[in-house]
Amino acid sequence: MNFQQLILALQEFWAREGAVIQQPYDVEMGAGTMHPDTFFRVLGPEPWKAAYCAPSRRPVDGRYGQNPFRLYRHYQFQVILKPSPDDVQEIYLRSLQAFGIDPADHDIRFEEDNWESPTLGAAGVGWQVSMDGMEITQFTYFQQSGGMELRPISAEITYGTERIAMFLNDVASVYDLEWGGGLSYGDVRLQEEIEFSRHNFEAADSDLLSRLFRQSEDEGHRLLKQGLVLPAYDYALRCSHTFNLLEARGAISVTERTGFIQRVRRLAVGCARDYLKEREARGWPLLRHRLPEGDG
Amino acid sequence: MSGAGVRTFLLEIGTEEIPARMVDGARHDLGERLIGLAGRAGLLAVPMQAARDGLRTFGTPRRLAVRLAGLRSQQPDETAEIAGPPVRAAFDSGGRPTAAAIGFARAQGLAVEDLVRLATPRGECVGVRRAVRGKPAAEVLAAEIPAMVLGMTFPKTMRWGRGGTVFVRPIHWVVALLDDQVVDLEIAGVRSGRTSRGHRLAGAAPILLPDADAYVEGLRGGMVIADVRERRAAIETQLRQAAGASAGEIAAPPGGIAGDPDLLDEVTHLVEWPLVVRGEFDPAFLALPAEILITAMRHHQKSFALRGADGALLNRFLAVANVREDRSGLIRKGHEWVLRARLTDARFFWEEDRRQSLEAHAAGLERLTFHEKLGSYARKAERIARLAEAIAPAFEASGIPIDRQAVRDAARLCKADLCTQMVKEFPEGEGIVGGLYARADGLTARVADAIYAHYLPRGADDPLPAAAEAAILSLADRIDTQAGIFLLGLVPSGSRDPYGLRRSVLAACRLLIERRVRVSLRALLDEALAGYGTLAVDGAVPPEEARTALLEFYRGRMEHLGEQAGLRTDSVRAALAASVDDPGDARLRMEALEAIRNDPGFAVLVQAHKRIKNIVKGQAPQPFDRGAVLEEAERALGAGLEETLPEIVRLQARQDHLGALRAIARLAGPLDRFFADVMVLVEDRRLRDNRLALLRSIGDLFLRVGDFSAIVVEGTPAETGAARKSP
Repeated sequence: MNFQQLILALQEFWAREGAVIQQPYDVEMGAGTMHPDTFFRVLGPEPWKAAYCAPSRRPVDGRYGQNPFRLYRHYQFQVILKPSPDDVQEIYLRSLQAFGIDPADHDIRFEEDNWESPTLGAAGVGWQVSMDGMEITQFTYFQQSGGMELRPISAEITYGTERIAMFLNDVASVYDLEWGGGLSYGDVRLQEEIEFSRHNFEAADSDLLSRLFRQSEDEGHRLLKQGLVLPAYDYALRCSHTFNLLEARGAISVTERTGFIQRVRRLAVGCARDYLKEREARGWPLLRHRLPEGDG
Repeated sequence: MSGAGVRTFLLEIGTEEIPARMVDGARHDLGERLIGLAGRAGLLAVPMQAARDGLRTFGTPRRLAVRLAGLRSQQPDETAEIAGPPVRAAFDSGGRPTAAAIGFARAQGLAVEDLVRLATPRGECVGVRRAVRGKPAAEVLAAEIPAMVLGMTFPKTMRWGRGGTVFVRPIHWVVALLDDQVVDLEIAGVRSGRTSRGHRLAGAAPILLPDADAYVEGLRGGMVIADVRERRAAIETQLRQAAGASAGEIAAPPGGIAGDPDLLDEVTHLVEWPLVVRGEFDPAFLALPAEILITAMRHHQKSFALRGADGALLNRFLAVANVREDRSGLIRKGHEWVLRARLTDARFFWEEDRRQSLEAHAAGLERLTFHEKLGSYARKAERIARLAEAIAPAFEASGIPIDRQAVRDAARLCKADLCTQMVKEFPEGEGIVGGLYARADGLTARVADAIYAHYLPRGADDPLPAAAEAAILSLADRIDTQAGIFLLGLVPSGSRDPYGLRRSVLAACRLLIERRVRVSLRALLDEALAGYGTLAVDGAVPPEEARTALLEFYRGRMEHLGEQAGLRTDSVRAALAASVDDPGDARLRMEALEAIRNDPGFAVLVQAHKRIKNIVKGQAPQPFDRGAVLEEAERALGAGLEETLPEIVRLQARQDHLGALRAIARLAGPLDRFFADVMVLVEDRRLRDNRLALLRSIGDLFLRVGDFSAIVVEGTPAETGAARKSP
């Protein structure tokens, strides 16, 4: 099973489980959790079930295409289930079979791993799921987001697609992984890794980035005042990514760092609060829908 | 089986995977809560101590369980007293019942004549005595258990689903059996029954438990070893056999203990049915330092590294899987694949990191936060260097030669590895990795070793750094962190110790005590606090306040260490009451007190110290004037003091505290006579002040070793309330 088949298999599995299959969001972000379909949907009383592939950009993880395991940009496969189903672990274990892993043939363990994102005001409790000693999934019960306690609780399942595909295909370097269409992961992505590593570590203009950060922050707050929550959140995402670039560039000192994080957080928390107000004003539209049960 | 009328209760809470680090604490907590509940409810058929023999707790990743034998089937009948109004309000001056009494009686369904008089904390009241029939055990348990379980505490809890319950992980099933009867109760929406569940892979087949005693064997049938010790022993046996089959033994983790008991504990709580799987890796990786290989094996994969008879690492490892068998060899293959990936990664880090010298990596410390309010690691490294300069002379004065230049170089570089990819990937490699890179950079062995071992001892049982230079850095690093955190007013309390300061202070005490280094802790702490300059951040406290709090914290840890060494609590406290300023010296004084406390003459000194403390309490200190004595007993004691003091000073200078105590013991006779013959609180002010001054000097002499009055002599309780709970 090559890389794209893995993603297709996951989409198929979760579609059968009744999830909305979303598409990647088109603003740069560090993790699938930041996708509006997770960040906002976990808030408030409305049920939600979605799955999507989430390209995740982490400038400091760039390795110029030299490291066989580390990437500036990788692809998470993200599932969000709200409220968390009673049998969510069993569903998850069945999902492994969708790409040919029989849990009885492997050493699958749920090891404590909690997650926290200061910039999103978000925190969760859960595990990393390891298979034969390799983490293949981050499994989290969201406890807080946007600085608020959540109720109901969402389960977030994040598959590390590259690792799983490498394991399945017994390849030692991510760049040798077969993507699909006869091409390797390296054929498709290597140049991007090299160029963005150079950009992130060497070429990015810190002054410009600092200005962009400030402007995005101002614009986000301005839009919030006008009741434009989702557009404001796009600017919060831009702030977050710009901050990550500044950090990779080594342009943020220790004392400044906390300040930057708090500024992004303030904007994100503002978005979360106003989103809830907006949903409430609309009468929590999704409460009227009974979410489909899975047919898998 | 249980005897007639004596019952056994079983409770199992089935959950999703509980964090490995929490299982032991949680099962003990559950056991204590249950036995406490049974005791309070009058359900224990035997005294509490005996009841403990019937208590067993169990824990696996997916369950916490407790079984308690020796329960009554029914609470004993009791007489309950219900107090009404006080007698004076219940009857008027003519002795007739008041409206209050009549109303109370009516509310109780009685005539006022039926009321009795009860002694209560509010005084004598009218009231009712009623026979209360004991309830059946099952009824009591059903009512109490849910709140007991949900009241358990964990280091971290969560909500799930609709979010109505808080627990360590979602609850999926509950077994509650009193002998063979289900105790019907509900916890977090889950109804109890007699059905447990086995290992995930054993399928969904329920395990029906006929009675409480069938638990362990029932679960074994479902591929679950419920007993923690049994599971740990099973893993250990398999590990030993597998290691033997590979002609090796389990390697110690860097700076840790052979056999890797920490890892063994952790994997015990990650599996319900352990299977040790043997694997191999490409011997070419053995070119990497053994520390890196071992860390890579244990960090993510929780695998045990093996070493051969010659001590060199083998290209083999042992993984502990949670399965019955590796039926198609896929687990072995999987672990081998993953380890190859990890080692490739580690080799990549090694090569990448080595493109720069450790010195060059150190430049990155400017951008690495030590603590958001305390600045960067670059500043920390500078403070460590300064503090190390202040500590080094204490080592030298204690007869330990120090390479000062090596200390300086190592202090500058000891945190540099935090900027390397290797430590970012394997944080537990801190120090070790820096040491390895320093060696590879061609720095002297002294510098490299100091960096390598400066983080030791990490755990309470870890070895101390062998090199004195490393010990100095270890102390400087720790004291610097302690000072910074206390300056922020963040004193550890209860289970809150986010910076691991208890462990850090314990480590500092061990270094000073076991290395026999004499210091003034107070001076060192002041030096460390001064390293932060004026700290203008939220919540910062003045340095004097931080120093006082930190010294108190040290006292608590020294007390703990002393007790752990088998010394009696009152000996420990008596020595610490004298001074905590030199931890090594305090330990020697504890030991001396422990050695002499059973001497017949010592009780006299204890009594004398108590009397002295009582008499001089609140009196302003005055110098003793030997010319102003009147009585012979007074003169003798004064002479004894003057004769003893220099001897004690001399003995204590070479830390012969037992000798000092023996010298002090010679004052027992004169003291006895003094108390018998001399009246201290006489009218003549000059005489009185001089006698008080004499006693105070004697008291001060005692306090050079310890506060004798804190020692409990057989039969006489200590009268000072010096009992200070360790924080």
